[in-house]
Amino acid sequence: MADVRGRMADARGRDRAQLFLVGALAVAVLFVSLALLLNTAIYTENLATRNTASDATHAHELRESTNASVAGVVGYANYRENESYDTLWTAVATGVRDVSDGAAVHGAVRGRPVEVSLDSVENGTRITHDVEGPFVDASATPRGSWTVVDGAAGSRDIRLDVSTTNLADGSGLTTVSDYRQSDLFHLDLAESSGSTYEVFVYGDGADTVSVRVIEDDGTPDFVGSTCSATAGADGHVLVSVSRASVDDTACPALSFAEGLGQHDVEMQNATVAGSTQIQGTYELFVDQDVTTVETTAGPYYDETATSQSPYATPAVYTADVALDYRTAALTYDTRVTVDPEAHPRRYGIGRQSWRLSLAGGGGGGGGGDGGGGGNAAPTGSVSISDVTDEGGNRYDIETSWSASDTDGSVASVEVILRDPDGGAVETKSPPLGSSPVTFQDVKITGKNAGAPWTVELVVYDDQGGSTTITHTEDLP
Amino acid sequence: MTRGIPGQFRPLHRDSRAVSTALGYVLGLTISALLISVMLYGVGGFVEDQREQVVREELTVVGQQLASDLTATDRLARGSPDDTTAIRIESRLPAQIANTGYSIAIEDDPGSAYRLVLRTENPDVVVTVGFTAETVVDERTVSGGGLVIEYGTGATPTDLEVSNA
Repeated sequence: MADVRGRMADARGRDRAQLFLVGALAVAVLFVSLALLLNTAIYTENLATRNTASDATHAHELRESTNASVAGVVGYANYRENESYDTLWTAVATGVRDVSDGAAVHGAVRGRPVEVSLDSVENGTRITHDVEGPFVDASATPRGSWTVVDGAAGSRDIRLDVSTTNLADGSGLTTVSDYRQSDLFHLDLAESSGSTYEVFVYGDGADTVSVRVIEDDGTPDFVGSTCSATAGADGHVLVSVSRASVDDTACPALSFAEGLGQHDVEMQNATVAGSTQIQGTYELFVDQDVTTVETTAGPYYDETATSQSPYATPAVYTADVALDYRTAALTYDTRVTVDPEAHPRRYGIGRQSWRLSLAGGGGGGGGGDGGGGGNAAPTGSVSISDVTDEGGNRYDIETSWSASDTDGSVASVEVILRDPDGGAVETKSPPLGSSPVTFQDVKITGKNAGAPWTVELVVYDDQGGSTTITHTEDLP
Repeated sequence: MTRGIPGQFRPLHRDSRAVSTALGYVLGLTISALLISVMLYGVGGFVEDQREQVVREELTVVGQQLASDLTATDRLARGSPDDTTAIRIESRLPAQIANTGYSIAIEDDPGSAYRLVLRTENPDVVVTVGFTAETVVDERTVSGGGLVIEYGTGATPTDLEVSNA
């Protein structure tokens, strides 16, 4: 027979190999698609690390910083540009434009346009009693119980800087009727449709000031518990009704002041039968036009009278600004209602100065004296040599100064002019030896006229030490 | 008939009794075909499995991204307590996941909780991502891709509205 085995064996081998080839190709294609899938998985992991919500966080921060900046502008305008509502509006509008320019530069660096513009301003009144004395009104025979504001839509920043001298004592009192029948001073906030809140401020032992709140909604009741604080070296305690604090302690009983409806503000028993129950200084802002305040309440001293208290001046109660913020993925248009109460106070009674906050509760002036040991601080002197009247309540104030250092040399000096409130009106950094220095066109009006102005000289030596010398004088 | 000396053994490999070349051929083919197809089926199944897992993971990630954008918009809306606030956030999500389109449905849960339900058709995967928002979010279904979240504009200014870009 013919030998066919050999060829058949060959054929079988080839067929099997082809099958394996096709199968391997198919498996290879599957593995390639698996690789593509794994690619997608890697992309997913990358997608998971992207943070798209950071734009919204920036928008939030921008909103808060705009609120703080414009609150600062409003604070400045209320103490420096408060001749009339027109000058206030101009000052706030200019300030907001500056805030917008500054924010726009910061935003442009990151490719995010920002715009802030002033929408509207709520006119109000600032009522100030800044001469230490009893909390009486400005009538010919001063009254101890009088209306501060009649029917104000709102009030904010109510601060009483209470002295421990002549403060009526109320340490033994316990019940509501005890308080109400006593002669203790109380500040009343009477809602037109609601309750009346009586804030009793009295002495409680030596050098201690206590605050108690009674709410009268038909039946008088205590609100919270007594808040007390001991007066420091200056003999005063700051009772801040709006920030609900007595000096540095929180006082929850005072937090009723948030969200009051239309209300009257009255002072009761500031003096009783000629004897003072409370004295010190105070300040508050109310949401009512200054002419209305002066006709329906008070009486107040005319603002142009020289250094008398209490008086009422035009003020900005609150302002609305429009904020525009854009990034690649976010568009944010909103209106911010500025809340000056929520930000640090830089002017007026109970202000926080830069030096106190930096030195952490040290002395008021000269926080930063003498960096290293062994360096003698520099010395100097400053005085007001000449005051020239330029007309229109503007004056040129010439100050002469000198500075020297015993163990080195003077690096630089700063001459700062401060108004009676303590705020810096102008700061000059004259070159050494260029005494005298003149502050041009300083506006002195109203209560600042005839009041003590301060010229401050800060001398820096070349080893990091510094000295502050002040000179106070009544101007003009 | 084999020839040989009776009583002597023949080596097995030269013994071709009871062997048919056609049967051997078919057997060989069948066995290797079975082997290959089982291997293909196994690997194919593995790839399909992986695909579903990748799609599920990516849907979860996309859902979490959208949820974080929604909660960020909600926080911004709550921090701007004014009727004139207008917020618009673009959420750039991938248009396709593992080469399939997907859809996102926003559903309301009791309280201030919401659910995002993300679906693909092929493979059939459903992923749920929950989030909370104080502002009301409109219930609707959108297809995957670039989305826009709006507040203060549109039909209901007090609601967060999600729509396709």
